[in-house]
Amino acid sequence: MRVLVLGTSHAATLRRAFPAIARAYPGLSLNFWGLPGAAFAKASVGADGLLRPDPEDAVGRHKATEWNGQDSINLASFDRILLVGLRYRLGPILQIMRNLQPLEWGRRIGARGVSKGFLQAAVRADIDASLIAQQTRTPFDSRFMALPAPYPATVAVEQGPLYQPVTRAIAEQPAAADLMEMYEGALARAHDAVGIGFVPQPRETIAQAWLSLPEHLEEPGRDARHMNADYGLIAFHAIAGQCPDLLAHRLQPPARPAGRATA
Amino acid sequence: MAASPYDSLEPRAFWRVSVAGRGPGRLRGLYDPRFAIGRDTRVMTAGSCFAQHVHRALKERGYHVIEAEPAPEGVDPTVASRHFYGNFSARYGNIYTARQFRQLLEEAAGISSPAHPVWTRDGQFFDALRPNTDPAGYGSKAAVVAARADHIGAIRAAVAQAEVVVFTLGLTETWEDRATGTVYPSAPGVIADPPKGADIGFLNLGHDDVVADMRMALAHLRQIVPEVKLLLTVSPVPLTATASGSHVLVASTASKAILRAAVATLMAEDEGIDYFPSYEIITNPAARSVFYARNLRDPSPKGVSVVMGQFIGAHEGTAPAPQSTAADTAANTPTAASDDEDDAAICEEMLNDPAARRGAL
Repeated sequence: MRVLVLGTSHAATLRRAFPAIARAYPGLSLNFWGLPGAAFAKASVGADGLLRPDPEDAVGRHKATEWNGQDSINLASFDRILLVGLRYRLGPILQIMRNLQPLEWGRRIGARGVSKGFLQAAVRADIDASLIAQQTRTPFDSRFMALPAPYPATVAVEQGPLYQPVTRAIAEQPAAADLMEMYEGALARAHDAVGIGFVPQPRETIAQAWLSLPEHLEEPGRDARHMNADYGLIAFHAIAGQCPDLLAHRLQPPARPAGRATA
Repeated sequence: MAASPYDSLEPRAFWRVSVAGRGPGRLRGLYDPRFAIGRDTRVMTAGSCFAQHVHRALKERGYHVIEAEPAPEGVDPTVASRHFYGNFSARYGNIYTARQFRQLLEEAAGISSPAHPVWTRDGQFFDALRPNTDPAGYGSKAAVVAARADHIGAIRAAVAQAEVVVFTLGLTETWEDRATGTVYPSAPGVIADPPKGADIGFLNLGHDDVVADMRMALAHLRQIVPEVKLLLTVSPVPLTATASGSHVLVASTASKAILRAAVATLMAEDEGIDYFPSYEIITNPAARSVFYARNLRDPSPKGVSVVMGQFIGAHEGTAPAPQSTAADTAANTPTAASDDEDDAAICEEMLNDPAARRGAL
């Protein structure tokens, strides 16, 4: 069974876990094709059926070869495509969430009161726009299963070089968990609407709403967003849990691995 | 034989040359403004769903349209508009009747409070005075009350800025709480339901009612801004449905006639009131319904464009918009379906048709 992990720099998290995934799921042919987020957002399937960077994106073309060893890939040659690492306009959505407050949850200083339904509709519209744009670039079919970019680790809300003020503003809200539930609910409905599966970030990797556990960081102290191979294996297990064709290849019953996932 | 009083009249006094002899978009001299509206004039808009077109068109043409409850930054414009952000000068939704407008201004002035302000449906709570502004409702009664308090504050802010209020009279039919006289823009069961025990019944306003309500509305506006002007229009959008017992065409004609006559009465008594004939521009026989969408109800984008071209032309001393020529050639041609959908206003009144509520239209 040929599996393609496709996506942004966050998809590389799964590639780092390929050795561990291969051990846990023998019989899978694991393949990767990815680009940095900005370049991936411009890559599209051409008339020849190949996915490749925007021809005018020199950085994207360079990264395609550097990361993948080939500047294009034929999506038709895979049985399962895992679309990993999209952010679904999370940045603008967090800004909206910071500026607006559902009055059902009471008032919040500095935020404009709105109905919860309005905030939900606003979030959903941004996600839909993002997903439909991706669908235009990489037409979806039933082989696709999506896993979003992970939330930043807890270090992102601490003063220092990795500080993210908007993330902190959302994570520290009393309604942070409700907002994350709203966001993930909108993601699930949006993917359902375009006919592909969706797996949210595994709960066991989350420290609190909107924040990942720091032990999953690939480069702690340098990068608050990209995760390591341990995370990649956990994420793959979560995906396989919703894909019987992948799960059929698993050797062991579902359980969190005890040690590091890398070879 | 002596000369007839008609002999020396200007051409616009004669139907043959000024209506029948012209294309639908080429009528001229319909509107002589009593007061100027420039691009720096602070304009407050309100009224029935046709007023959304007026608001949007003025905004797009660079007029100073007041928006006390603008769309939140970064939110998809379609979502914002569906929730009535930026459709009018405040988020009151469609104000179909003069009574509702008067009532709203009295609430904003602290003179009165509406009865039964929160209605419900499927466990959600709705602002009964603007039930379509949040189509999914609110999760709690307290949230509706809080949102309304914000809204009333925004209305006060909008009124305080206004130099001209553009109000579109839409309907005479409304729904009234028998005990208090509070009117609601939507009948029970259309969008939500009133509390048990509320006695909400049908009310059809007459000419004198409309005149009295608009006099009071203008008096309330002048309490805040003494020099404020009122520009009235009558919506060319016919009734979706009537609860009067008459045929809907007869009821619609009566409703528009009452509103149009009320405007004439008001203009005759108050120099601070003017009328812009968007109703006539859309509905005149020379237009042959070309300014309506296929449902023969919604004004087409072309119709709105011609209306606003006449408005801008009158206030800026320019020729009406060139769309008029295209409209002329399109006479008797069914409006394209795509035109029907473009820039459509949001009218919960259409939900009075049960088929619309079932999504069958």
